[in-house]
Amino acid sequence: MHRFSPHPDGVMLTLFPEEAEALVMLPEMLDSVGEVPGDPAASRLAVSAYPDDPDADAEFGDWLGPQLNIGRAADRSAVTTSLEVARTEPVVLSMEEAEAWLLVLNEARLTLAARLGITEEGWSDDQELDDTAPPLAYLTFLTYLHGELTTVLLEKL
Amino acid sequence: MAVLPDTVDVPTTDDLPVEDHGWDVVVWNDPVNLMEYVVYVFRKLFGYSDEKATKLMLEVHNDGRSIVNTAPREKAEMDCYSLQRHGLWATLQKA
Repeated sequence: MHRFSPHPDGVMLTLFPEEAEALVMLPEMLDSVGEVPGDPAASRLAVSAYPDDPDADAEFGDWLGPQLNIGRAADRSAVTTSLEVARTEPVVLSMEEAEAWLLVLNEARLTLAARLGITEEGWSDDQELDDTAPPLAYLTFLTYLHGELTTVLLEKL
Repeated sequence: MAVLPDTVDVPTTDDLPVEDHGWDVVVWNDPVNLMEYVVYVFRKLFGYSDEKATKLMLEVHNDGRSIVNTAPREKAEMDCYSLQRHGLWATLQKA
């Protein structure tokens, strides 16, 4: 079964109830980024635009940082709203909602990967990593969803 | 009928604006963003063809980084912001 599939009005989202339950925690997880000092996800989600120029970087952050936070909050809200429906029945996402899902899924993947200390390519094939451990299993699940949604949205460009 | 002025101010090079070579928007490789997703982002944000977006994505993947656009500073900053909003590792440098 495809979780994301093309629809004339956007993208159809179809989830098993237990999958929808597993995704409910996404916005909350993203809201928690940076709450714990030293959270590696915080620096991954706030990349320095001018790594060699702190003043320019601060100016960039002052200008666009609030816009970034507002956009991310709106994305999480859109995901939460559509998930409430998707827990019981398939839901048609508008293109804007589908884009919000794409960004939230990727943000969550980046967060988990940073917290797992993934810094090298090929992590998904790394036999040293225990793919039954909750964070990695969750990352694998999100990666599957994200890849499927990307494919659908590429077809719509 | 036009009247010729008594004197003519001849522009010198000092009067020319400082040449703005623009700012490069650089995307760096990372182990998490999927290749297909990076192609999608380049196509969506810059309107690139699939061929060009794929070429740039492969530069990022194989060379570690790629200059995906060069523009005046404000536009380059907006591009950088949009890429970061999509989770890509994007920075700016003088062209």
